[in-house]
Amino acid sequence: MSSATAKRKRPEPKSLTPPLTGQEKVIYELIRSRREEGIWSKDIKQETDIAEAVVNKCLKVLIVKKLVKEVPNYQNKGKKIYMAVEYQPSEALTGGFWYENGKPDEESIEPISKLCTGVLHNMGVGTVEDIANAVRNTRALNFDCPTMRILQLVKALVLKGQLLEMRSTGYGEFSSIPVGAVCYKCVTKTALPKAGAFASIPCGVCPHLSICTPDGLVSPSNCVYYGKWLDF
Amino acid sequence: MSTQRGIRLAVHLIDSHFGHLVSKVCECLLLKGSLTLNQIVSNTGLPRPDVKKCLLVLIQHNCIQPFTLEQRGGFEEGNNVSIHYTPLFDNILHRLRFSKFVLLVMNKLGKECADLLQGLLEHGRLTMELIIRRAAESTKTEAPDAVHDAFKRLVGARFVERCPDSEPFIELPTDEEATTKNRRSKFAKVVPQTIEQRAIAAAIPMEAKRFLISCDTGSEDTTETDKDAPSILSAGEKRKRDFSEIDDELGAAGFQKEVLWRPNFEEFVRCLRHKACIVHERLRLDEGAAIVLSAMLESSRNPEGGAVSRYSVPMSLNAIYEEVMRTEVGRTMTLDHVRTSLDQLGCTKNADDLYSVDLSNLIQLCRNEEVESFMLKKYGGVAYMIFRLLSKESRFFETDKISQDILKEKVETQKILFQMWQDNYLSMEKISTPAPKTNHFLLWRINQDLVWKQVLDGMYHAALNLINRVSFELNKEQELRELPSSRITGVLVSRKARLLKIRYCLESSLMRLDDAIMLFHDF
Ligand code: SF4
Repeated sequence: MSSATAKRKRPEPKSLTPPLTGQEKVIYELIRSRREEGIWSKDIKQETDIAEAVVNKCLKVLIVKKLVKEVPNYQNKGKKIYMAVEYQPSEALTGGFWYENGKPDEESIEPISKLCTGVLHNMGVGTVEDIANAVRNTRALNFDCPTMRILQLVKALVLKGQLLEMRSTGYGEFSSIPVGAVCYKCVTKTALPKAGAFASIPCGVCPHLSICTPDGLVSPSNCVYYGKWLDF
Repeated sequence: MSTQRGIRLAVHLIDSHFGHLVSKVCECLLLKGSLTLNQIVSNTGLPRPDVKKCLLVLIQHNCIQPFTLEQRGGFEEGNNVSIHYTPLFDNILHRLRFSKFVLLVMNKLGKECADLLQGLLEHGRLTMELIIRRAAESTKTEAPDAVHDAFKRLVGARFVERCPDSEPFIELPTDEEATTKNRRSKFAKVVPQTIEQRAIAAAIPMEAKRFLISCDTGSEDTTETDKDAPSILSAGEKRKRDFSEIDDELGAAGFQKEVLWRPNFEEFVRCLRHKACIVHERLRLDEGAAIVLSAMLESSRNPEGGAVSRYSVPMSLNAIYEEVMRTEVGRTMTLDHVRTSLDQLGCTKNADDLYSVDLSNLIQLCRNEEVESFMLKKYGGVAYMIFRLLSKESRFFETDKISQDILKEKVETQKILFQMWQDNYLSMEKISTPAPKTNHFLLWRINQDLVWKQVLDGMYHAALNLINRVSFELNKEQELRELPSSRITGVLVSRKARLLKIRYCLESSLMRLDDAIMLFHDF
């Protein structure tokens, strides 16, 4: 779970700030005040009233001194955003909690999704709170992962067909869950999506279906897909 | 819902069962709707006597329904009356699944009944006397009583019914009827029935008569019936008597003097629909849920009749429990377990504490699964997730929202969305935020009915391809098939085994595909 734990370190306050010039300090303070939202270089110029060339020079210095970083903005790749190094880009910049630079952070999604499925498998049926608590209790994560974020993973697992979403009836396996509450269950092997009748034959997904006729150029008798399928 | 490809499949079935002429007449009717004899003759260009013969074959095999239609005449003329022939698309497709019907009866009522049904399916419609004589001869049995008994059981279980009226009379709506209909359809959005639907409904005998086996051996004098029940004859029926000579042209389609019996496809569809739900719930939930559902469906019949009803007949918990107890596995279930299964099945309780299950909802789940699996195979895992997300709610989703919900990259998501859209499985809308900061967004939605229709259409085509491939494989090995088994040695043995495998693979796929066609078309 090392990759999972590596995600999103907690911001650590910087105690030792290297010496800065007056303008550098003004710009640095402004950037820091914007926390995980960061600030656009043009906005820095406007808000501080410092000339663009100077702002750019100061930014370079701040980056070299490892006080500020440039972070990508997935919405607008050309718009340079600066942020104090101790902050992680907000969801507006990354594209979402489980995203990095607009790309899904597979290194976190994969292992934590597996963890969710694992804990749910052990408990049988559970609400998202149950799953989130169980995940936190494993102490495999060293970052705050609110229940809402676990819900995102759980919902994606439902769409993937790995978990079932259901409502508690209040008895039987649901006895510990309030009636009507949404809960989740692992999909058993037999219930995994079985290949449908249409998807199991070559014509089902054939790109030539619309032009395939008995006496046409493409026909069931000269079909290569059938040839492969019936190659006993 | 008979699409172009559905029609092609139906025509092929008729062609292979009854030959080219009959299929030509059938195709003409399927493409144009109901037509008169003259219209069929001019549309097909076939000689009149041939068309008549073809129509007789199609009537005999329950593939068309004749009806007499009253139409307004011109100025100062009386109303015209003409006989129309309407194709029964569903019945034609049922020809693909006769083996399923026989198997169903075999499992429910035993071999004797299955044999009787087999004969009836081959002949389309027969009198009871003929059915019994034919069965007694083929089994060389000396006990026609047993055959008679089997026939009674078939009718009792509603697998066999009296043939519909050979030529129902569809009269012009009275002025009053017309105005009420208009008013109703305007406010209550009642879908008006087509003339063909009215004719088919009017032809079905009344419930009490439909499954009535009279004491005599099968002939029924219509004049006697008239004498017995003069008061129930509607004005239309009386008029029909006056016009029945018109139909003399077609002889057999005229007034039936004998009671003819035919397979009741509606009942087969009803049973197969129930079976599909039970099998699906066994996989989705568990054996307990399947037993409870089966108990609810098997023990009761919807009083309204019809093959497809939305809800199962309401039953009390005790009645369901009693029914569950009758099965071997059910005996181990507690009342609490039954109640849990009822909840899992999404059963609702009415004011009298009676449970019923929403069958349409279960069928919808089955349909979704079939389409989801198709999406998975055709476009991959991301499309599968997208389809599941969009089909949960029938509203537009923005590309970003979709990619965030499925936790996939936006570019990849958008690429697949476009593919699905190009193939007509999604609808898309572009919206732009007003200037100066103009942003474009793409919104996506699934039109479920359209997707289902398209998938069904593809399935008709695929079924026809499977059938064609079977004939191709069989023709290819024609010589081998004609060889006596004593001469099949050496390499021929493996060739024969290969042919068997291919045939089995194709035919079992066709039967599975036909299940899916029924799921979308009949259930
Ligand atoms: S027969 Fe072959 S070419 Fe024709 S639609 Fe099927 S798979 Fe495609």
